Amino acid sequence: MTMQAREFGVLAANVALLAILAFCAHGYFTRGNLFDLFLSAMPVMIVAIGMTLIILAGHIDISVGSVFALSSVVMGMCAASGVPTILSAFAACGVGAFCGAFNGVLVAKLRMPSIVVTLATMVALRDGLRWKTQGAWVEGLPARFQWFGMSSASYNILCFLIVVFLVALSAFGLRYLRLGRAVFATGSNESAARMAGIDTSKIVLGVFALTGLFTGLAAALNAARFKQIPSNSGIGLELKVIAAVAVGGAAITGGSASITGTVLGVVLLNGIGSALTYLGISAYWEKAIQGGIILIAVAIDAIKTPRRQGENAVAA
Amino acid sequence: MMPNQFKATWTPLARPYLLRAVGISKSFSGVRALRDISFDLRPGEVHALIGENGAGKSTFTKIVTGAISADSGTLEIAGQPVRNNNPNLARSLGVSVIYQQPALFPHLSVAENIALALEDERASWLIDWKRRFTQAKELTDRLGALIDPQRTAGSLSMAEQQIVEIAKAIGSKARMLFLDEPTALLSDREVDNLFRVVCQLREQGVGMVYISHRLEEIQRLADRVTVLRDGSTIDCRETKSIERDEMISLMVGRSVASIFPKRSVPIRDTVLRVSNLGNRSMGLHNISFSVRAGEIFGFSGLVGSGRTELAKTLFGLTPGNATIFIGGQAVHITSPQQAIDLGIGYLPEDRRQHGLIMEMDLASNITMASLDNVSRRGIIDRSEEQCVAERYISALQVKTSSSSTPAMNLSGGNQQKVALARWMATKPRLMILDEPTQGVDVGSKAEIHSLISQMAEDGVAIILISSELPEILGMCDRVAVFCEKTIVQILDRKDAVQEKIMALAFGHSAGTSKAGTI
Ligand SMILES: Nc1ncnc2c1ncn2[C@@H]1O[C@H](COP(=O)(O)OP(=O)(O)OP(=O)(O)O)[C@@H](O)[C@H]1O
Ligand SMILES: [Mg+2]
Repeated sequence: MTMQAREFGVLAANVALLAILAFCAHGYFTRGNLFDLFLSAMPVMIVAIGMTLIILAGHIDISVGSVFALSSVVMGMCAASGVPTILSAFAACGVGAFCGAFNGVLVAKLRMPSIVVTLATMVALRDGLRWKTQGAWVEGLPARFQWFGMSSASYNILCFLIVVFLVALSAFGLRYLRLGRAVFATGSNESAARMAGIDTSKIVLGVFALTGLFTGLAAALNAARFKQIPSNSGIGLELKVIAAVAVGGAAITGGSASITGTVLGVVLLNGIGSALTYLGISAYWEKAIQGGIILIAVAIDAIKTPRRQGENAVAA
Repeated sequence: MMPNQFKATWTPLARPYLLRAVGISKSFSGVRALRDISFDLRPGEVHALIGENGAGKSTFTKIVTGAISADSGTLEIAGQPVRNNNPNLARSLGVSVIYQQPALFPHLSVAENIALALEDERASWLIDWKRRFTQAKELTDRLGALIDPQRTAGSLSMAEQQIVEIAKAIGSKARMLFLDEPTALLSDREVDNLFRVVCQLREQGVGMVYISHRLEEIQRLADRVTVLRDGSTIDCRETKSIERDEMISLMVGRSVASIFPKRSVPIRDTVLRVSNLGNRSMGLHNISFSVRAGEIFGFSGLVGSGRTELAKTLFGLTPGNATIFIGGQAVHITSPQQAIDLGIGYLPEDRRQHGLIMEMDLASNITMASLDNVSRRGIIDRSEEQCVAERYISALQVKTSSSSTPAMNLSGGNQQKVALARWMATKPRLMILDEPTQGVDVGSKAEIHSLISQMAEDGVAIILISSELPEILGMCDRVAVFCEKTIVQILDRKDAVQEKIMALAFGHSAGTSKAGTI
């Protein structure tokens, strides 16, 4: 498949970026800076793993930004009212999973289009949260809230291990688990998958719930970096996530994507932003350059896929 | 009926070429699909193109129609040398094509599908719906099919979709028509109507390239035959000067086992019993029958008579309202998953929509419905999977370079074999095969028939749906004849003769046959 070619392309872009930085930006490769970069990319990375599965299954979820905000606030409110931090983090995950499952039920069981369903939950959750909190941040968190009561270095390492674990697990799952196979099949040709005995609606429900869970987890890990929690976090998260998955080579129509591609996509898009800062280029360019990269990636796909005129599908 | 009734009455030799292809070669990522093919077509001629699955027939068709481009060689269409062929250019030179797999717009109506193929986009910005509908009706009527032009293409059966494709092509007033296995899914009546239209077109001077694995059609219809083997032209002959057996040996390069190797096996317990089944959404009614282990039970009937609808109901795709007994146990099947768990396998007629997952490799496709056998606690054993896949690839003679090739790179007949392999790998108690040998070449067909017999011998109850009467007559222990969405009669092997089945299928009571006019 052309998948490997794409992964190679994004990897090459990453290497090129690093090479430029190695020459021009001293201090970029210090341990502290790299961990900062990692932590700021972490939410996108974790959510992008879930999004890869959703896109692979032929759907999309644009409510992840709002779910992220809701989970963060729930975690903060739990912690502020005396719940132990670790249990508050589980509450955030639970809220995320519940929201994901809610989207999933509407998409899988009621067969509503995922873009419409998640657009509705995106707006409803965001505005509901704004109304409830009146825009106020969650304050008065216990002292042991930040970094889960650990040292900042241990917290960094914990986050890193969690991300590595999730990446490895999902990459393994897509390749070796029956469930992973079923996600591919569902996204490629739902009716054929059903005929082969795959419960496609369970699969769709599952990937939405899992993405919700991951979003909650990302929110919890991210919230623990700070001493108070904004009620409007995660704005635009869905765009960053979907862009990274697309740059990583996923077919937006479903049936083709890879975790490796997504990881490389996240690294590239996040790397560009920080590189600009380091190179002293105005941050206003960041979005433009990211947009350019997305266009290039999608354009390469469009050029490489032969146009199927005459016969509107694959060769027979 | 004279066997030669469809032959041209005058010799087309005197006319100039419609199509001349010299030295055409084509490779797909290292695999040589065509090497140095030469082919020509004259006006008013039916030129058959035959060869095994994967010989390169569809690839050649696509090169002429501009869907793909050749690596080398020269192409001359309607006297004009063509470089950089593309679909629009080919169409403007009068090339029209019916591809092996119907490719209609599923959400548009039959009338719209036909209109899109025929209307000139500059004609008018106002749609003349009345004209569209009458035009669609005329064309499908000409093919003797009753298809409501307002239905959406996606709701049609495969055979009906194929008829719409044919209607599109004959309506396009092409000078040269490629028919890539147009009859693979049609029953005798539709085939005869198609042949009548082909003959009319021939009288009008249209040149036709006819691809089929049904050699008797070639003998009835074609003026010349070109044989391909492994991408090379083996021979080009006048049809009159070549016998069926010789065609086969030229195609295959060896002799072929006899077709329909029906073995008599002991018939055991009842596996499936259906009494008084109905299904309102499918229009089925009053269906009762039973199938026993070791038995091959045929479903015969015209296109649209309810055979596939019943198969889908049994497989839980469109649950019906009757009690079904599987191995004596009453069940109500509501999903394919449940059907598979009960030991039912169903090879659907439409391998592209409902069968294979084209982007996936062959190994995953083959094990898709039997992952239990190659996985433990949800983890797939990839090497085991590969083993299973390779076993079926060689048993069914699938032409491919490896089991990790995506299914879409296979030729139509080879895809069909992979779809069949998937269901054989599930080792079911009851196997429903809907047109299992559609598009499969003669050699592999004999192989598949013997595998089906083997399954029966191993105690599987088999339901065989086929539009090819010889296949039904050759393979089945009993035959259920369908007419207007119900079983009109179940015939034993000794009573199942062509005339009787045809008469029943047309809705005449047995004996008073009007089949002579068909
Ligand atoms: N897109 C593709 N990529 C790779 N290989 C291909 C592709 N299309 C066709 N082939 C290969 O080219 C060969 C010829 O295929 P083709 O479809 O022309 O066969 P065919 O004669 O039409 O067979 P059938 O009777 O099964 O329809 C096959 O070996 C097939 O695997
Ligand atoms: Mg073909």
